[in-house]
Amino acid sequence: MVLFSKFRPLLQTVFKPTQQIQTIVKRWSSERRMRMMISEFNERKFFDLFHYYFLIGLVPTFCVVFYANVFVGQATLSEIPEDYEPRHWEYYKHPLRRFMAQYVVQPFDERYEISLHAIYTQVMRDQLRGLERKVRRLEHARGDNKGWFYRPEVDNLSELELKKAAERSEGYSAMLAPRELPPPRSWPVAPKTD
Amino acid sequence: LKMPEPTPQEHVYGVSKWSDLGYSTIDMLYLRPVRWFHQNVVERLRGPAYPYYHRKFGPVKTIDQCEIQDQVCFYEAEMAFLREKRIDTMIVEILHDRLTRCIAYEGRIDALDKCAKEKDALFESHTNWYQKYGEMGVPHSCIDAYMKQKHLMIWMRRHPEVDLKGWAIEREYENKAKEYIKSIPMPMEIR
Repeated sequence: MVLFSKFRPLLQTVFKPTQQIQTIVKRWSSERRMRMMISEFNERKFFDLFHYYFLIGLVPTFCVVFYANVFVGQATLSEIPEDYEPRHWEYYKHPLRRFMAQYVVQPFDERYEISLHAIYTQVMRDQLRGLERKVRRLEHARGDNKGWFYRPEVDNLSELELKKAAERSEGYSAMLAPRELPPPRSWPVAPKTD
Repeated sequence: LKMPEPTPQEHVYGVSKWSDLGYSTIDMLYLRPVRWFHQNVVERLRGPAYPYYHRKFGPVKTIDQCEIQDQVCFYEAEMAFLREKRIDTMIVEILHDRLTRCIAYEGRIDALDKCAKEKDALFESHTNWYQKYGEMGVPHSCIDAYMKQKHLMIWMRRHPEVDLKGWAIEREYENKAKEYIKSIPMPMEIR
């Protein structure tokens, strides 16, 4: 970057003045001559802008780094005093590194604890899913419970079926009890008894 | 707790004119201005000193103490295992570095006599590292390391006469190297 200004003299040594297009010598008199050259305007403008935009970033960074290294200085290693838990940025030496740890970056221990929490919640979720699967399996097998997601539907015929199956499994007998009437409807609206 | 840091290489004057000249130019151009700046400017303008601490990791259950299906315990044991592995790797690297510096200081041939302690320390630490962490495959977990330790102990119990670390082979190699160097015909002034 600093040696950009050497490009033109190098080019001028390569392209000798023998080439008439590059350097045209105008003679106004026997002594005074003017050499026609290609314009340097674009080169100068490019280098100016390059240096301008480069230094816009470099000057503040240099000042900050200079201040941090000369005026603030690096930390000294020391034992952790008793009954004191150091903050997470006090484990770093360089002041800029401490700044980043304090305001920019996620703490080291926090990352660890987040991973532990993630594992714990995943384990809990897996256990709950297993429990749900077990409950569904048992409900399907036994068919005797309403279920926590079950909408209450009165199915008198199924209840009757189950009762009849129980009676049949007990065994047939000569003494047959009278068949019961189904219970009165309670949902959505109880019937009017007038 | 002071960590022993390697000291910067001292320049020995009188070895050769050119090394002296090179060191003098570097000294004048870089070291003296920097030292002057540090002593006169930085130390006068520097603010108060402040501490930083060495991170301490608390004791954590290892895998043999964890309950069955306790994923959180597994993770913590794994992290502790990886920390221990990194520390052991650094230790082996430091010992290797010490041997290299010893050889560079003494010379390749005098190192056979004078660097025996560094060599033995490196050999011991390297074999221990290999017994603990080596030849398990990549990737490997703390459970693989635990099983390796168990199988190693069983094997050592069944074959107590075998020299696992290989000290006999190491000593034999050292003696052979020394005998070879002695067998080279050389005038006494150089040897």
